[in-house]
Amino acid sequence: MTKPTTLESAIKRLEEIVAQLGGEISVDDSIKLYGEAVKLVEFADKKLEAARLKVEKLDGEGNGDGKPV
Amino acid sequence: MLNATVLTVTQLNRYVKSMLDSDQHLQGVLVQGEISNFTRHYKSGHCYFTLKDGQAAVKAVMFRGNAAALRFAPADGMRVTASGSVSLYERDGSYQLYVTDLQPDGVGALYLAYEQLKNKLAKEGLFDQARKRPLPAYPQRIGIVTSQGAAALQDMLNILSRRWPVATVVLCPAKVQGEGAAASIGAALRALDARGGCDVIIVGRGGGSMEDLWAFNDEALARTIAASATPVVSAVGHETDFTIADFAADLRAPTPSAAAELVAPKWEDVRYGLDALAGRCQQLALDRLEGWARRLRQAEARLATPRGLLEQQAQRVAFLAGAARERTARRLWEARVELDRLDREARDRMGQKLEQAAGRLERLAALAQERSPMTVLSRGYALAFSRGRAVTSAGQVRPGDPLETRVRDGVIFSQVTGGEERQE
Repeated sequence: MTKPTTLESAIKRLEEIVAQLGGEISVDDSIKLYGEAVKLVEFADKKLEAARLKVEKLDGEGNGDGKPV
Repeated sequence: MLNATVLTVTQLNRYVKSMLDSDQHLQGVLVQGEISNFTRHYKSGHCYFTLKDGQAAVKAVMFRGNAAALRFAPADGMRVTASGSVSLYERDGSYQLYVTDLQPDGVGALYLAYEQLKNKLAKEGLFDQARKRPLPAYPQRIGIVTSQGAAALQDMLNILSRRWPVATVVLCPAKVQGEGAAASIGAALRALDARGGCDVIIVGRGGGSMEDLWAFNDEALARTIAASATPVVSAVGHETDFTIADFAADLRAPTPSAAAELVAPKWEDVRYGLDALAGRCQQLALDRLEGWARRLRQAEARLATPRGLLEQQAQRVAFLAGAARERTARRLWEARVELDRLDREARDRMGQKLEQAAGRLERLAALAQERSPMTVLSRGYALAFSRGRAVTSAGQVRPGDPLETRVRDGVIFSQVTGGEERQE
């Protein structure tokens, strides 16, 4: 089980898990996958719910540092 | 030339006109000059004006059909290049320019440059569809190159914060019109591409004249856009404005606002999709658990069967038991919660079944009631008893035997006086 880093990877992995759970799979694996799915949903939830648009500024001339504005 | 022939004015003008019309040099001319005295005839729609330069002037006419095809409105003082032919207006005896097309001077040159650059880059394959990359479905960092403080920027930020507040916008301000604008936009895009950590970058500005948008027709900028490692969405001007940057970008948005909508999914849609996925996972996992529980119950049932079968199943049961032992306390707890739920559900279903059964009993009781002897009596039938036993056959009693006849509301006592068995 790899830890999700982005919403995109989390949702992609969730889709894979749904496909696997729907196919031929052992009880052990299905429980393992379900556990992973729960963590993925928690992760995606956190990403979605902590939502407030942030704006950073980068200086095009090369001396910016991406600090929030 | 002294000559006896006297011409009428009409004849003279017609002759001069034919001379002008037959001169090839005068049939396809390009004339540069400034428009003055421009009038559009309110009824016919034809345009009349004078073309002039510092020293001279010539009358010009542009008929309605040609004038309607113009993509700009001619006006006094405008420098243009007119194409058309020279002829004579017989009524006035004045020659004039019959204009078929007009190009405003500055813009005409820009347009030519635009077309040439577009063709050159297209030939190089810079605009090939195969080069276009898909945009990320759930961008976390969205880069924006535009001028700071512009309405277009505020529009994009408003849409993004409403639609996809999950994202972080990385703004890299640039000069978007005038001297050095193309270089400024290119530098900002390179900076964002290299250091912004963006999933997608929007490059654009709000609407303006063709000259205002000109920075986005720069060759170097087109190459910078094409070379960007991050997918680029162009968003220049209005729906109808097409720039070289649009062709080089991975996606052209008609306006900056549209770009914001194109790069960001709708939060509600993602929320809904995630909930659906989570629900599906849970349902599938529960289905599995239920199947597992059913197998355990079947294994238990087999334990109760004769020894031979038991031994046959021993390995299977041992496997299931081993598998069960391997599960962590949490998984067992989850399974138990699920089994409890199933149990509750089963009990609920049992309750329903009992209710159904009770209903059926009531209906049966009613039916039984309908068919009971007492009910039959009320319809005029009678029951006969002798010495406590029901009389069902003529041969069962002899003359002199007591007979009790039960009817709906009582008993009649009598004695048998005779009888006859019916032969069957």
